[in-house]
Amino acid sequence: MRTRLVPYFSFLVAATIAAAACGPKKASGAGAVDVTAIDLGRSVTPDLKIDDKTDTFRPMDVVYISVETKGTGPATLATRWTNKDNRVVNETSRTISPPANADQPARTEFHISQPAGLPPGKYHVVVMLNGTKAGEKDFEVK
Amino acid sequence: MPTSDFSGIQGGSSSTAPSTENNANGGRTYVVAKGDSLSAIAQREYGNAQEWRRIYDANRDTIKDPDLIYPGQTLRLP
Repeated sequence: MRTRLVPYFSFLVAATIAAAACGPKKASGAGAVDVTAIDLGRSVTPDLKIDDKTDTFRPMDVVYISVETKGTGPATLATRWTNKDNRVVNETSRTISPPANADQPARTEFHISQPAGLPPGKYHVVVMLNGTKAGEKDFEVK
Repeated sequence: MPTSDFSGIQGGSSSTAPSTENNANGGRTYVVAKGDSLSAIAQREYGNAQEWRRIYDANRDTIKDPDLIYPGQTLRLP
């Protein structure tokens, strides 16, 4: 009896180790939405990555913030942009529903601009996920 | 010449995930993702695929054929 149990026990140990190794990968793809990266820049690629990260902008630039998320939705992302006087200059939100079978992180960009030019000064943008702060960035327009 | 006037600031957003933007005026828009159909959007947004016609009716100015919508196309959600 003992000799028959040994292979079974070995298999059980191996399976447990394999399951533990796979655990985080499964969780990151199948859980609720989490913010995994936030970047600022002047432009975005077609898959909404920032392709020239910066925190210094010119007045005529479009200021992009790209929010990378993992997990399945729905979830609401929001941005709150304020100037140096803490005055809200823009708020935009977006409800995303990444599908359960997505094999890539989702990216959501928010942007601000002003045809007459953004006033020079320091700005602050807060990113919220389902109403809770998920990150923030400072930038300056010169 | 930029001024300290912030009144003209425009904002927006887009996503690689199926999503709806919540506008300041309370209206909602949806940016079509690859593989979407009106019935799939209706199922996701209203919980009923049969509601696709509501979306079609609200966007007849931009949707000529309800079987043809395009990734990146912005739809109004009634």
